[in-house]
Amino acid sequence: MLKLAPIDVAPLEIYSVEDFRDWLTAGYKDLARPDTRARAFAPLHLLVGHGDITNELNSVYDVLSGGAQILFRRGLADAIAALPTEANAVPVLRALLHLAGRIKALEVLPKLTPQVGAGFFGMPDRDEGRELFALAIDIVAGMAPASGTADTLRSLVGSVFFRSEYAPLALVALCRAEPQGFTKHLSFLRRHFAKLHIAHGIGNAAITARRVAHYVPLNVMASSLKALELAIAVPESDQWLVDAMFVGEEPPLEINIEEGIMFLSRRGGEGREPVQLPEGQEKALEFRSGLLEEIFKSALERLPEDLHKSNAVPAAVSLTVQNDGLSPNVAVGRMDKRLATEKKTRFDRELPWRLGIGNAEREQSKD
Amino acid sequence: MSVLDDLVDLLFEKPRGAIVVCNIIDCLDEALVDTPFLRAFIGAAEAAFNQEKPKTTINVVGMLAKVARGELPVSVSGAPSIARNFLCRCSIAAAPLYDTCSCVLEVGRFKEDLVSDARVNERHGFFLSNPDPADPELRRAIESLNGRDDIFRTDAELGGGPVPLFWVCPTERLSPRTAAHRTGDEARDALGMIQHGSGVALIEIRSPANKLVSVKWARPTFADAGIHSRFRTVNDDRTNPSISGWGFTVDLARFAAGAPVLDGLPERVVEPLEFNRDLEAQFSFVGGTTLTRGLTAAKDDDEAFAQRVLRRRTVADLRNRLTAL
Repeated sequence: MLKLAPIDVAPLEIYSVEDFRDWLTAGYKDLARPDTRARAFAPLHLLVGHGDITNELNSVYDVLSGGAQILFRRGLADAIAALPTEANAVPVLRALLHLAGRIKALEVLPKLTPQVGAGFFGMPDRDEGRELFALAIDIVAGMAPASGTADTLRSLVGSVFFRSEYAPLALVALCRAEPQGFTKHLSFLRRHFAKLHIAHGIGNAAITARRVAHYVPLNVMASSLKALELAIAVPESDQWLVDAMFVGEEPPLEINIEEGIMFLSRRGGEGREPVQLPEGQEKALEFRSGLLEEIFKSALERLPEDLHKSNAVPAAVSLTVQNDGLSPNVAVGRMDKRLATEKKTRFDRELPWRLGIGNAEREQSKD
Repeated sequence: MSVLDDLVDLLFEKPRGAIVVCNIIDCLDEALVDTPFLRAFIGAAEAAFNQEKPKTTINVVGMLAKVARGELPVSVSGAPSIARNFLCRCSIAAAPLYDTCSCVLEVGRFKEDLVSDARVNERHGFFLSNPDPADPELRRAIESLNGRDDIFRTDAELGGGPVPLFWVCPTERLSPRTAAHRTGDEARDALGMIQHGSGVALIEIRSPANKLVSVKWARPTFADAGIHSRFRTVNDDRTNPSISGWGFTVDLARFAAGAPVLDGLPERVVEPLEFNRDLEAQFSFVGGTTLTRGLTAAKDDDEAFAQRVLRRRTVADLRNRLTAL
């Protein structure tokens, strides 16, 4: 990629929105044809077309004046809107979308919304339409948290072309754009997660959980936990997320009780202060019951094989109870088949708990 | 004044052009290319110069890159075309042959060119074309691609696109720079990828070397380097002749630090390969870059690099060598 200066892109400074629209559309079309490739993106054809076109055009954009940048972005949005819904326009649309994502051209967002029920996404070749829809949601998600991205994402989720497989991407992007609306996003996508997990299981749910925990501030998370739908073995619940956030492989969050007060914190700390769960003691206990009992009660009644097959539980749940003489310590973790088989797990809801929700193996090593 | 004189004058107006001239002459002196090859290239460059009439050094550099891959000069109806592809033409055999080679790309380009959007964006292990540099799960998400047969874009080619080649280095030499706790800076610097500034997420594609030799691959010449501003033909450590079939990257960190030896990693260029399961590729996240290189005047900018590749030769010397061809 050539390092450009404003003088190198001076010819574009007088371009109108229409000029940019035509320059971009024609440039990508020319680039695709061997007989026109050499002069694609003229008059900058000697500076552009050397490999990574998206980055090269990003460099051009970067050295334009502020006014020309606005016209460039609007021209790009118009180029996307003006493309005919034809198979031979798909490569150009892909390239334009990638460019829009790279330069964060929010002007394209309103141009995508009219396509959610038809247009390119509904092209007869299902693969092309599906690829374009997946790219569109990817590009919009990559613009988060910029203004308008959340609304466009919701519009895309509401499209007939939205597949439940994109629910993790949509959730993470919505949490990045509007972290305060965490439970609303989860509720919005719950049925899609259920379909996803029924079809594919919950492999890698920990990745989504860690991303959600990264983007949603602790205080928001703390006040949101009670609103989650928890139910073992019920696919249309948020159990998978709670399990992955607190229980699964390298869970990002933990709840601890100190002197009867429950705190939510990030594992590893990294300077992030724990946040007290906003409920009072009574509410906290209620939360404890709601969360832990739901996790345990079904788990303990079922065989490990069933649990492994379950779509609602990441692996399974095991429970160890340590009694340090003062208060038992409860740890929740992945089901260890051996433990379950040997019936070493037990749950005593009558014990006055001190709770540590986390990695069972780590807790067990204290034995 | 001949066309070539004008072309060379314009190149020597800026350090960026001087770097190109040094590499052209060095390729000849190092026997990476022969005189007929260079004459053909210069003939095509003169014709392109007449057609395009570039006015600045940077435009001439871009023009020469297009000449190198046969895009210019544009054929004129009725006249025989003198444009030809000059890429991947170094004939020095590669030795040693490493077991595995790595190609490092920006994550966005990887997604744009090589993999199915629908497949990679689905389920919990997705990652975006423009990933958040602070995404804590990018490494795991990328590595979740390994073992999947369904991720490849139809008709995707590694090295496809306007410049029909890709660059590789021995995986074993890159691995120390890509450990999990590192940023992308170390690998980017070692590979001399000055085009990637800060905030760029990089992905490594590893493939068995025997998959690469099924197509043409070669030690890179000035023609393969194209517009790359930190390419050089002659490396500093001349004590290892067994590796002469490999070029050497310029280590950007060493250059910025003023080190006497700038050699980075061995490198070769490879003609496009179908990107599918047969490549037996493995993927890993290299890291995100946090620094931009090449901006410090008299230290690691084009001027400073031009001085390194000039190696005490004068502009007059180089001009005479080129025009004498």
